[in-house]
Amino acid sequence: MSEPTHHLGEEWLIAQAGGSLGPAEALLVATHAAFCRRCAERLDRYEAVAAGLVETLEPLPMEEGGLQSLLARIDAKGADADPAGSMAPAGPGPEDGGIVARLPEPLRAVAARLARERPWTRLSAGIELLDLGTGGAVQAALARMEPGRSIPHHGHSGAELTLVLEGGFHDHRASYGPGDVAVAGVGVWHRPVADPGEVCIAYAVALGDVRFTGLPGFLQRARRALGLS
Amino acid sequence: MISEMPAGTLDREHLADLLEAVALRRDKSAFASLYRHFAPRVKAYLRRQGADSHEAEELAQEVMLTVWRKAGQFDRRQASVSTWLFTVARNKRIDALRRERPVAFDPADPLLIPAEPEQPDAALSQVQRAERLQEAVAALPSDQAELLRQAFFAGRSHREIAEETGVPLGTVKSRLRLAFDRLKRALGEDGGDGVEDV
Repeated sequence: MSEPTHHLGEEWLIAQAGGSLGPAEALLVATHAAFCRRCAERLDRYEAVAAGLVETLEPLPMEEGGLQSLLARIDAKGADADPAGSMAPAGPGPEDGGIVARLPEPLRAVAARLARERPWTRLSAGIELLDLGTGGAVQAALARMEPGRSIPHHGHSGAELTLVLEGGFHDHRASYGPGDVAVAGVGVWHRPVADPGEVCIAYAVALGDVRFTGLPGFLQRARRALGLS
Repeated sequence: MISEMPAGTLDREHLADLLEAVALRRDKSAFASLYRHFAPRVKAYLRRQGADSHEAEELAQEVMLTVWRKAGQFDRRQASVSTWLFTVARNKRIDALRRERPVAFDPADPLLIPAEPEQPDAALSQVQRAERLQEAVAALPSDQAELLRQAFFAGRSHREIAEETGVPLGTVKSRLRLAFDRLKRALGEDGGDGVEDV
């Protein structure tokens, strides 16, 4: 598979390396790096810089007895077991056509867990979403788009990042394929259309409100007014 | 207990020896040395990321516990101890301390950083690159280091850095470029062939 051509700006990699991104954004950057050798290498270097910057901070003393209590925990628990290893492995998802199982890490583990708790929901004709958000100001979702289908025309009060996982989509600005990240900044209004011939799977993170125009916008406002969303 | 050098003077080879001792022999004395060197630094990093004193203490403990559990995953041929351990702390921070507001990077006004050549210098191993970068960071003028900390640890756009520090926006941009130039030179990549502004 060819390398992606649409990347996030350096400040995203820098913030990721330093641990300054929220979990949804961090997951997107790390998953893009799984497709993109160039960004993976840059991330490695930025992580080394970040580790060096930690050494420039004035160390803060730990509390008296901290080491002893940690050693006691190690002794007590048989702490050799890595708790992450005890999570159930990601089995086949419920009727998702194997979408989750084909996702690259680190996205797959997160999506597998949430897919067992939440249903896919229909956004519009041929567009389904799996909410991956944690209920805060940042929204995140997996999107499944039938070929040729479009997400209704919308704008954003904050940036929106969309990482293509399978297939591709295009809007008035460019075409995006696997590993590409489409960045829609504040004030960009667009209508992403899935390319013909193949289902498009993407991971989208919205850092502000998404506002739809036309009928979808009316329905969105009506749903909110009725307390349905 | 082994007698210890003062924190901050442990050299990289010694740190790698300690972490391997933890991995291979579950050596608690070696772990104690690592704790004394890294836990206060991890705590400082977490405070810098916005944790209060209590959260920073607890999370630093969790980070060191994870270091104990995952020491077997450290490979000294692939990684420097500082970077490996920092990655554990960073991931803990992302999961545990939910960032309060999303980053505000403007795609129309990107951070201009001199691009890397497409072929990284094959003469340097990944570990050597990490060590050179860390030495270069330690040698940065303090005003440049502070701006880097703002970008890495606060995820601020350069506009926000200017607002936060009171440094004019143009100066923020040029100082960050200078800092990254120094880091690039430390890898032996001079601003020569194949380099272009992003």
